[in-house]
Amino acid sequence: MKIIEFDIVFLSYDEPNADLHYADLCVKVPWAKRVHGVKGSDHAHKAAAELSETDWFITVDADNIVDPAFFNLELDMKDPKIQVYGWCGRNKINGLRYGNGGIKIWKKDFVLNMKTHENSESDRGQVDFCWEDGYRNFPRVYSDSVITGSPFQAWRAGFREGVKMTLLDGVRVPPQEIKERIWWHNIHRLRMWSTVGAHEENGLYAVYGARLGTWMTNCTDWNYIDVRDFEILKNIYQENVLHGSLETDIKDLGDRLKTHLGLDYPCLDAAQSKFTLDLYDETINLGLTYYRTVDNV
Amino acid sequence: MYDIFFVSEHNCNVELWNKCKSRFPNSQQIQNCNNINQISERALTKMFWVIWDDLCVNETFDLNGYRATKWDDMYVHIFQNGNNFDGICLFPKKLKISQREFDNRFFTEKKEINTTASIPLQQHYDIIFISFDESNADDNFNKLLEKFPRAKRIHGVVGIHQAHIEAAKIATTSMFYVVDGDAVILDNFNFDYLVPRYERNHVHVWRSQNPVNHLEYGYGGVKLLPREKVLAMSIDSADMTTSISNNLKVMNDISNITAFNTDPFNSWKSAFRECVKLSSRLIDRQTENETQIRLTQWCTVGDDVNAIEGAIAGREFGIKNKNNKTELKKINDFNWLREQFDGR
Repeated sequence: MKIIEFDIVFLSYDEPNADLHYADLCVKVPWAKRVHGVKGSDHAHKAAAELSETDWFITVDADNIVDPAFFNLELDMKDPKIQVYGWCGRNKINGLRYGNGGIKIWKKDFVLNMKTHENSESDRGQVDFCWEDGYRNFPRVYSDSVITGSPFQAWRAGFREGVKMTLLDGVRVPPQEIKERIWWHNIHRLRMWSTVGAHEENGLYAVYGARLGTWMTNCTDWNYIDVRDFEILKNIYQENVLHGSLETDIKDLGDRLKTHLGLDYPCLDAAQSKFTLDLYDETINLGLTYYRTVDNV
Repeated sequence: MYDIFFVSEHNCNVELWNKCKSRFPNSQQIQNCNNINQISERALTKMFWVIWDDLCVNETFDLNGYRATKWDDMYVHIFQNGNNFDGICLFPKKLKISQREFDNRFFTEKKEINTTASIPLQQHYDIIFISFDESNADDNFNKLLEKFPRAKRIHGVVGIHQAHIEAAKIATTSMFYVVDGDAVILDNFNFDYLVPRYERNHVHVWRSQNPVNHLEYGYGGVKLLPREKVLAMSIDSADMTTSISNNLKVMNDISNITAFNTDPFNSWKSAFRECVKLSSRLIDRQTENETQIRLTQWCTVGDDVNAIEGAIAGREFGIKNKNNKTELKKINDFNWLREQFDGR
């Protein structure tokens, strides 16, 4: 099945770059639909499912700019277990490529019946989607996630990942066990979120958000399940940000995270941040080309 | 030289086909065509041309003189058709084209060729004038009819949604223009917008001039609506336009003056309804800043006391009932509006 056959729904809430990104999507697919301002991830996805006139539908998050090559894909959808297909998004600030911000294709019936986030009955489902065996993720990147539209947007994206990346199946682990029990991919992502960003406008807000999310989840009695509630996040932002020097606050949080959790993050300036990002991109692009392979050896 | 097909969605446009045949004797005709396979299975060349029967081929464009280069002969070459890229196509025979791409004439693997190879045939969409009790409605309709004899009228249907559904029922074209009963069409607006093939399910809204507060936006503007979508729309929503289609295109040009201030009740009613919509944030994707400016202007600018009074009352009602769909829906009930006006 060629992907362009499915309905495409753009999901936005309050992102400052949403209109720009939706306009860009409509140039690539003029019939793209949009769900805007629906509170709660579960409700927003259900609204998208209701809007869809096809059995499967594609969701594009508001911070995403989609590579038009995505719409040329043909997908083998024979496996009846799979309810959601996902592709990686590339984060513009820190170069990370994973499911965060990526494009997804959902089975309409599944979405209408799922219970996640604000409607979840399980621990894990409180803060994220739980697809178990029904999810298939592809490593190819088909979108850029641009979260730097405003200080708040960047901070919120960083904060949410700072929370989620230290949870194990949606549940907090004792602080001293984080480094051992949390999947190393998530620790790696947390390190990038917590350090790389100074080279981009508003990028330091993402760095600060990631560190604050990690701190509040693991070193305070804050109820991390509230990470799903964008209004609560707005209050946290207003209470914590803009009251001092951002660089000083980032360093201060870094010191505290080192002492309490053993997470040792340097403070990168703009040049160091850009250098790290470029090197990271190059390393990924090198991939298997680094060693010349010789046939039959 | 590639095979050339003159393709009709329904019956063949004989006049255009004859023209095509005389210019390109090697062309073949396909009628009642609704998928790419009906064409590609008849093609014997690596690529093939499709001339759609809703466009006129430019006299200077020579299909037989054009060749795709080797490095891009795997893409659909789509040529400019007037202002849009929905015109003559050169298809690779082996390329898989989905039904949705074919229906919308919008392809994912394409090369847009910046040559105006054709112009679209004029789309004479029906014009339907919808009136209820506007005191200037007869005058406005007669003026419209004088310039556009194809205009039709729906009068006295209770309920905004129902009136539009009735309009869709008498429309004979796939899209139709809607002119409100209080709209005075500007001389330079000609109901001749050429809709690209891929935007035929979009709601198009032109801007109008407000004679009281001088705002210029979609309020009271001419609309171009997809007929099937109107017939299928939900009548439960308070805002009719956004319930027709999720795809809304705001047009930059001004179509008319919305002369709503003809008598005290109509001034009050129109201002009330619009300010309920603005203050309750009823319309999806309203820009907060823009909404606030419009609301303030409705409530403060102009010398029509009834309009300003209606705007203020509407603002209060909208704020009070922001999430109460049942209450908000009342703004489409003209009898209820009359009661509110009389009971001030």
